[in-house]
Amino acid sequence: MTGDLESRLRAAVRAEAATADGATSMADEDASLGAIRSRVRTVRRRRRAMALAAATVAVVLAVGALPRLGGDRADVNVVGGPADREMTTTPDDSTPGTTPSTTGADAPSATGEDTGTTTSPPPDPDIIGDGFQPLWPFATRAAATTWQEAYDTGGQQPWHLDAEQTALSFTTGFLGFTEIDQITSSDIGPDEAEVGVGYTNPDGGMSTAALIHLMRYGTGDDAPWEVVGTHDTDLLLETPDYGTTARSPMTVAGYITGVDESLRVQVRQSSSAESLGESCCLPAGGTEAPWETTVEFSGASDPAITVIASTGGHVQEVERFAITGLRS
Amino acid sequence: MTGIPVGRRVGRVEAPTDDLALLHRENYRSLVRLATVVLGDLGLAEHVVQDAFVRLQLRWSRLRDLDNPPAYLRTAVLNGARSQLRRQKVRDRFAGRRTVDRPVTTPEAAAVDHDDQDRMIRALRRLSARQREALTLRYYLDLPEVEIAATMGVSPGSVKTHLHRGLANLATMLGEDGPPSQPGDHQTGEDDR
Repeated sequence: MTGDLESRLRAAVRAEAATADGATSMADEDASLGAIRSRVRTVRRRRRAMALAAATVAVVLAVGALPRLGGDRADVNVVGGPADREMTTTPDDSTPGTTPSTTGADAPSATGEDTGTTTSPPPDPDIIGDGFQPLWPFATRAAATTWQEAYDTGGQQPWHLDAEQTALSFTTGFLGFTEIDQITSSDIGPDEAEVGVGYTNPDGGMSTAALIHLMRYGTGDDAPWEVVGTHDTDLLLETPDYGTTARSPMTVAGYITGVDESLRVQVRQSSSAESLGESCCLPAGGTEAPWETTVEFSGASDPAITVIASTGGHVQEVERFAITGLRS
Repeated sequence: MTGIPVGRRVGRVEAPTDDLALLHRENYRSLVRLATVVLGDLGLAEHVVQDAFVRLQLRWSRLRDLDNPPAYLRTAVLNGARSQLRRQKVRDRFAGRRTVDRPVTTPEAAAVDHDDQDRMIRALRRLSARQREALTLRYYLDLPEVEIAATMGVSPGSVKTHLHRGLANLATMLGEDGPPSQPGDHQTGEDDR
């Protein structure tokens, strides 16, 4: 009887596997290879940008250290940089939060004004790892540390320790893409995570709208997760380069694979509920077809800002999106 | 190059232009089939396989010395599928329905009664992840136990246990006689994931 069970199991799994052949085509296979190449290119491009940013920081550090070696720097007034920004919202001490707010709950003040000049930019304390931008929910390392200390003592807002919850809250809350409310994949390491967010199709299947890239902001197992970007596939946001300084008006460009797409570009920061600028609705479509638009924005005060490109309109308003992080 | 069955190649005329294209061509379909058996959802299966290729390509410089990239991909696909199955919603969805429509008769499908096949697949998906993976690698890919162990990252002894318990649990769910009982049989939950 066992032998019969084994032979029937063998036949069943092979027949089940064969159903995939009936549902996929060579076009699907070619599209898969193209998507793989696109994703690899995007990640490599981002890694190069990270390396460049890290090298720049190293040079700035070295240059900044020279006057110190010479002695007095009393005439240098360095204010208004990321390290000087103060938080206006702290983790809720009275009610441990289980869900995040739509803006970065721990975002810095928008009122931090520059009152002096600098001779050289200070090393950026807010950068994560080799140059990743803190996009959401924490605008600064100080804010993340403040939450971490509050969590250690009172357990406030534990969702910061959940990469999936952070990714989903970023999408439905901060970005306002309320229809993208499903986790479609999850790859969570000790310090870095990739979480797929998407939606349920009318036929019941799930589609991934974006792969959110998160990193731990700080040290230790209780360091909170921070959104630092997306790993893009068939909607690529390549210009401006990740980690560069944002200037308005800004040219935003990339590539898209799809049909009858309508691209919307927003500029946001974690401390603001409203977008800082927006451009809509750019028609696009094709296979890795280039797209380009210009967006004007104002009011950037966080150290990092997020540029979001989204498209949809076939099944729901937003079906895919990609983000990049810039310095303000 | 691989112990994985090579997919159908219909209408393909141009040759692969690089290592990735070659590897993709020789393994993509078979990996999608494997992931489909494990996940029961073609879309998720394709996503998991694509992820595996992206990771392989990103680490390619460090994997040049790998003597068996398809084995790496197979393990990556199973890991990705396991990650997917951890998601409760996915598990709930795939437990109750089939998202891949059965095509017109294939040689494999013709060899087995469809009702029996459906019962078998449904039972397979009620097994723990490890038992399901072990049975899939054994009865779909015909891998020897040592290769199943390498793919799953467990010992050959664990593979024997997963296979034995998996068959026993399948038999129980189908109301049939299975292999002789061993201590710990009939565990279908999350115990050994």
